[in-house]
Amino acid sequence: MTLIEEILGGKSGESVVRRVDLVYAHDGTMPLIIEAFNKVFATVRARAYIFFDHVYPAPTVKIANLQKEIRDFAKRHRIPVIEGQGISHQLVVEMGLTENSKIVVGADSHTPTLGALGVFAVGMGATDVAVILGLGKTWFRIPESVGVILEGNPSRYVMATDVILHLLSLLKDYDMNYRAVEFFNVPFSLDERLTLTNFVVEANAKTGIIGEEYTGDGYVKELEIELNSLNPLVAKPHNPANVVPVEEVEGTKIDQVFIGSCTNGRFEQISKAAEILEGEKVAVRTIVGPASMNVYKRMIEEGVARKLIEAGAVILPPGCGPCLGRHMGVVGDGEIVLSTTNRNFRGRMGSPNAQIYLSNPITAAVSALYGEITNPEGAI
Amino acid sequence: MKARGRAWKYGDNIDTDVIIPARYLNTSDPKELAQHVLEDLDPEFRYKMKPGDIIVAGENFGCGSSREHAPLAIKAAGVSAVIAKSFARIFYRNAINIGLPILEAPEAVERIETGDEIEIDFSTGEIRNLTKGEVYHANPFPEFIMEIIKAGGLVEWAKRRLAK
Repeated sequence: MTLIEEILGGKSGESVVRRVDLVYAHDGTMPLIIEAFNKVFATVRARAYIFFDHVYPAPTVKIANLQKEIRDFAKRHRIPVIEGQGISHQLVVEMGLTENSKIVVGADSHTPTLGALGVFAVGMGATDVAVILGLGKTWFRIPESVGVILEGNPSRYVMATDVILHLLSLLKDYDMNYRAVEFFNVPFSLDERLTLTNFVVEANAKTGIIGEEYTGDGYVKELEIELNSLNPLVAKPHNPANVVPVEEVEGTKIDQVFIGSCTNGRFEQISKAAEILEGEKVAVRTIVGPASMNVYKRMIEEGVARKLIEAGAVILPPGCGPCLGRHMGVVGDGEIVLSTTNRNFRGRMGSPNAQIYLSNPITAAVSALYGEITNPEGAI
Repeated sequence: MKARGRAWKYGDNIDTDVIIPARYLNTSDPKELAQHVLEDLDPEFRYKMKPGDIIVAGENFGCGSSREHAPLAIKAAGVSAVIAKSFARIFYRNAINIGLPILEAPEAVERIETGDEIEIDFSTGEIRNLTKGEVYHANPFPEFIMEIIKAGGLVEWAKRRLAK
């Protein structure tokens, strides 16, 4: 029996109705949730939270009005609203909201991030989440799981992002739709574990989860990843699975570097980038987006913010930042970006004519210094 | 329930960012969203398509973000159905929830070309290619999903559950 079969209490392939222990949404998805909710329900019957992280503080009157509408709805139904404190997935972890929870649904596709804590967490759309708010439950199709067992320890330039980029290329021709990934023997810190379950969504996985002991029983596929033999990787435009070794794109001129987001905006990741930038000057626009106010506070307390600022980077208020091209750090026509986020779809960060490359934060920081994609090995 | 229209064919992995770019998400008005449908994939699409037309695509249609704006934009543009080899799971749920007809039919996708006149009978899952004179069959929906579709979407399904 897989971890997820155990949590959902059934066999893969079955559709089951289950109580949702925690449901959350953000400023981007709430307006449609409110619309759907108001068609059927009068009372919220779920443990719910709302986070303002996508476009905060509001840059336009239209967005300010949408956010006002969300606040009014939340007040009426006594749902806590957490504004500007960081990205929803990160805050759910920091606030300990998954304690005593087994099943979590978020109105955001990167909700599986929480699988790093051993919970079953999936993203859903507005109407699904509205119905969860009203009923406190929803239906799930229990997914089959792929077991991914990590072996050894990575070299100093290899991070959780590279493990996922490697996994994306391994699973490129494997049908992951409606299937999940269960990770075992993970040697990373919590900051990096969250990257694994966050980023695995891009393999089209329904969710990711990290377990303690691998039983091998009930998995559709099993993969072992030798961490010692991994090298820094890069995803080329316009798909995260378009993965190549960093050497292959070395020398590609870039216009902007973004280090942050729910993928790589935690303290360990930003401080690794800051170590590289310390005492140097960036050659291109470099934007850093802490995943939460706690991360930002610690960056200030431990001198990480100073290193970044002195190197010429711009630190954004905590939130989703340039990742989805709606707020700060939007990229223009023909620009080339190296980003530590999880999606490089066409138009994702702004102009549809921009090109987005994805890498780990160390590669991104080194590349910021050279103004071109640079292999950290040998460069630092 | 039947649909009839011309096919517009696209490839694999059509993501929600190209279906409705985030820069247009400052509204939940379906009409406004429809003005930008598929803009970053095929900027001409919304001018050349006619109400009733059908989108045909490869594997993993609708991958990426959970934004329900994506199926809403497609539906509001007047697209009568999306036929794909497979759908990304959040898009699949979203489309059914808001009543955008979707069909998984790999064989149909292989055969249909842009411009073909297509007729779909949703009750039987039969897809007729009137241009080529061929008939294909969509994969049947799981029983559980059929229940939601028959109820007229998730909101109606939930209403009935509440009434019980």
